[in-house]
Amino acid sequence: MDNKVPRFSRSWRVQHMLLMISVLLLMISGFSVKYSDTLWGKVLIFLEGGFQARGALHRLSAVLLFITAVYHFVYISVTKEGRSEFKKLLPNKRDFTDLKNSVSYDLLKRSERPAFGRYSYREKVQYWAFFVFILLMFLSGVVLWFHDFFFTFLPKWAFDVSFALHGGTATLIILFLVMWHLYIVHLSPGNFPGNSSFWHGYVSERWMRENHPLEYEEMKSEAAGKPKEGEAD
Amino acid sequence: MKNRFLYILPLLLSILFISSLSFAGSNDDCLACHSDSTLTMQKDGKTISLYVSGHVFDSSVHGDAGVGCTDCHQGFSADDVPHKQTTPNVDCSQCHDVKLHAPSGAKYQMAHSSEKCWDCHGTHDIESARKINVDCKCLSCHSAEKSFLTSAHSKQVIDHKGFTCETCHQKAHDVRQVAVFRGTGADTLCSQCHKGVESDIENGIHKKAFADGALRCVTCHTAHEARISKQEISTRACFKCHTDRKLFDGVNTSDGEELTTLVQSYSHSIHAESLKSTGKGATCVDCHGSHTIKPASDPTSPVNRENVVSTCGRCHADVEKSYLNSSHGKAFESGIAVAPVCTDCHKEHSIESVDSPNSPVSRAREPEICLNCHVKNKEVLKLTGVSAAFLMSIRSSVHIRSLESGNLKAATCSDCHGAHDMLPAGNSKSKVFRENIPSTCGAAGCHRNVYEKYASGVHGTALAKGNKNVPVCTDCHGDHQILAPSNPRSTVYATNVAQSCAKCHASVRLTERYGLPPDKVVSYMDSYHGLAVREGSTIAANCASCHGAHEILPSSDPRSSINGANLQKTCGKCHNGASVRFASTPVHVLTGSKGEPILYWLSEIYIFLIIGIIGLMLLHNVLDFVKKSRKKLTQRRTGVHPAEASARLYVRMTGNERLQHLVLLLSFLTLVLTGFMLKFPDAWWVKTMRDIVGNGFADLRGVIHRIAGSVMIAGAVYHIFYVSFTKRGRQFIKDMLPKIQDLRDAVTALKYNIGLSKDGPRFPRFSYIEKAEYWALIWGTGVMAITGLLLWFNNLSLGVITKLGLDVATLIHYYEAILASLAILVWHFYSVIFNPEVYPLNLACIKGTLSEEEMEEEHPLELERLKEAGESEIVIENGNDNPTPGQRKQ
Repeated sequence: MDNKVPRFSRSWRVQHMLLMISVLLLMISGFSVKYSDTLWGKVLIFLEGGFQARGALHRLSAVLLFITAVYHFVYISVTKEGRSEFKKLLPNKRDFTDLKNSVSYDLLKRSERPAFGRYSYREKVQYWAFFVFILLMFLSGVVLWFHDFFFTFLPKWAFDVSFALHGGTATLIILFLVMWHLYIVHLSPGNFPGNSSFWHGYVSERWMRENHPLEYEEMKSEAAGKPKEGEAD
Repeated sequence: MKNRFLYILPLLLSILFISSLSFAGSNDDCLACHSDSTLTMQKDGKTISLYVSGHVFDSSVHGDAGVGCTDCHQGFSADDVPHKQTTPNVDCSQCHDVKLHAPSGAKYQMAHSSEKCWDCHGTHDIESARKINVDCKCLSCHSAEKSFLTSAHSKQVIDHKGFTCETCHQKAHDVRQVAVFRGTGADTLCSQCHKGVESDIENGIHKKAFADGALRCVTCHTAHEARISKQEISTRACFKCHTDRKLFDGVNTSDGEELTTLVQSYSHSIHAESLKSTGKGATCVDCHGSHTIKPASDPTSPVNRENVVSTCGRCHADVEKSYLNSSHGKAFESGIAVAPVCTDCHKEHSIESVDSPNSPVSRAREPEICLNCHVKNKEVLKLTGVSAAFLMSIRSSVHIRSLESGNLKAATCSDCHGAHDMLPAGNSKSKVFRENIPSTCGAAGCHRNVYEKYASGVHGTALAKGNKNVPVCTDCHGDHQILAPSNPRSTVYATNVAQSCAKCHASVRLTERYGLPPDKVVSYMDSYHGLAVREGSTIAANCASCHGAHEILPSSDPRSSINGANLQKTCGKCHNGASVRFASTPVHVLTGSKGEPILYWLSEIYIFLIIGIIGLMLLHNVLDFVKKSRKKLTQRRTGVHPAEASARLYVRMTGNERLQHLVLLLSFLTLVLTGFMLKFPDAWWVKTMRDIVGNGFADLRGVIHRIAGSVMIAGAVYHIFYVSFTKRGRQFIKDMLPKIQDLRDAVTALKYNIGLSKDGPRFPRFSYIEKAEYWALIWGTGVMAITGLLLWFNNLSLGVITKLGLDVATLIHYYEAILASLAILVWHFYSVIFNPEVYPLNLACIKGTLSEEEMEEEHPLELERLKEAGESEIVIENGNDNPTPGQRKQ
């Protein structure tokens, strides 16, 4: 009856894992310096091996994130799978009506949830928010890291803006992660206590039918056309 | 020249007399008739006396010279008596070559051209010209000029110094008309005697007017009086021109004021008023000089800014001296242009008494004029080195506010800083030098009573000994921005006092130096008093409530409010139940310190309990969570879900029980929130709430906490009633009693969760989890109710349980609260919310029922029992109002 179906390819999962590790490391090494006067800030700095090591860890994690980003750009531009995935992540008009319908469903004004494709507006917001966040963090981070170089031609305010931007965006990212991403994958009743597809790539057919009905239909008809096992996308 | 004529006259007359002797009778012949004093004649209807006194004539100039009657009275027959012909007028020019008419073609007229010789010289009693002058015969006609008699010049006449009318008005017969006379330059005339005055005037600002003739000596000094009283200098001399708008049309001062208005404003000045009432007071000339008047812009003018101080100092010598010793004076002397001189504060012409409300340095207006330079002038700001904001803060002070509302006794700038003698605070002679402040505010100032208390207190006595670290008035009250203690922004407002005291009493440096107990502030801040004050209570005791404000004394002093003998009274101010016994244990206690062994060990035990119990709960639930999550995840991954559950529902909680739960839930949450609000007044969410609620926050919080406490106790009482007197209640308590089986179940659950056992425990109606929760709740409610009531009704309790007992109750109430909150969060919320089997919520507390699937999962033994008991316990089947599981699942 119910069957497991693939959702994320190995490449996707590796990218997610790299992103998760680098962002987590960046957050604990970054917030520990911003809140170094609090108890947990001091504990984190201690765990990170002191102030110097904390800085090194932060920069190292940034490099890892950069590599992940480069990997991702290669993935979405060079590989067939990546190009197809990226196309499906592009926002379109339907996302807005989906959002509207989803909210009215939550407010009990509609009896049925809107039917989502492979990526609903929820996933698209996650993807593009992170896209912008990482870009901002990268640009401001580079100015802060190589300040001696940038001081030779940038005015002081560029440094100040970068500093404010780096801290502000970091706060935004952690709030976004908790309120949006972690809620969806851990706390939303359909996924609680967690959705493990980021690890092994599979979800149940039932979950697929409930959460991504359009993709499920597509998958079904494809499977009917080609008696081959469904691909990652 | 004329005088010489007088001596020639008798000679000429005697020649005439001899030549006419044969034709006329002698004087004696004439006097034979004319010495009769009744002899008269009628002319034009008037009776004219024809009497001539021979004695008067003989002693006159003519008589002396032997002039005969007929020498003057000619043209009639002497022999006809009475004389029939009318006697023609006497013609003096027969003998005297004197002309009273101006020569033809002259541009002037003679003043006396129409007068007769005898109008001045008299007839038979003719006198010497000198006598006419000296006796001021002129005034018999010119009576309007009688003021001459009191003039300075008149004195010269009386003293026979040779000054007569003629001195100014030309020789007797050459008296010219006054209008003409003026045009010929009286000033040249004046300067004949008053040497140097003319050049004095020409050195001054009046030079042009003087040359034009618009201004003459007499303009100011007047002609005949030639003297002007001090009182009249302004009104009669200077004002004549200087308040004339036509003369000074469009002439403005540098401030844009009309010059005439400026001059006129002198009339209201204290100088004018004082002159009027006492005869003493500066007039125009005292400041501006008299003949040599220079414009204020001239550096040599006495009213030039550079010279004003010494000009005023001519009268106000003491003020000048203290000014020159002041910061203002020193700055002025060193050439700093912005330093004020007398007129900058007091104004010039309009200068008024400082008691007058119009004076710019009146008590009420003083701050304005001081701040005008000290705040608005950037250069002054730079010189003084203090910020504009600091200076401006005086405007919101209780002093200036009170002053502005009309209380002229309130302190103004000069009361603290001094007026002419003001010095910067850093100068040890300054009134606002730190160590002089108590004397400025108190001893020499307004707050005499406060000063006496301060001086006898611990701070005042230390200051007197030369201790520089003790607080003076300004250290607690602020300096410029002194606010009333009732103002919430005041540093001595009820909720701010502790912070003001803490500046020193929590300072490591000061407490170490003077051996003060360093933890008094911390222990206060963590006490109920401190916490209540921190959340905004103005009723709860602050430092001053017990220690006093100004007269603070050490507890060893028998006069001290915190002396052991006085404690009952001091505490009794608020707590009428305070007994001697209550005050026998320490007041400032620190729960974390080993100095208070009971409190120390109690808190240690509680911390151990909290970490131990909550830690075990957490561990227990993590294991449970992992196990159940893996099950769920496996189901999703493999797609193998348990069979659709049946829609049968079983009663778990009746309406009554659900209501009890709801009352408990609401009162518990309210108690947790309002309780921790007191304990953590600085947490962001507490601050936010305080900002929203505003002033009454502390009271409102306390009231809500007590209401919620009462509700919870009422709920507990009801519950006791419920489990004692209802059948279901008694069954409930029976099912809730702990059994040995519960321990076995717990061990089984542990084994199952860590993978040592394949099957989990099968629970009856209440598992060991629910039993633990219930009995912990009973325990917690009891402990919280008892300690809470002790704290609430402290007036009753503190006489019995002492301060230490109250501290113990406070400590237990706090730690038990933490334990209960964490237990609810970790134990209860996990069971009913985060437990993967029930997530997002176990609906039993709302709907009152559990589904068969849920019963099978959580309470299989109870399900069996219910099924055995028969249909009676199964209440709803496929109830339409209850959604079947999965319908709205996302």
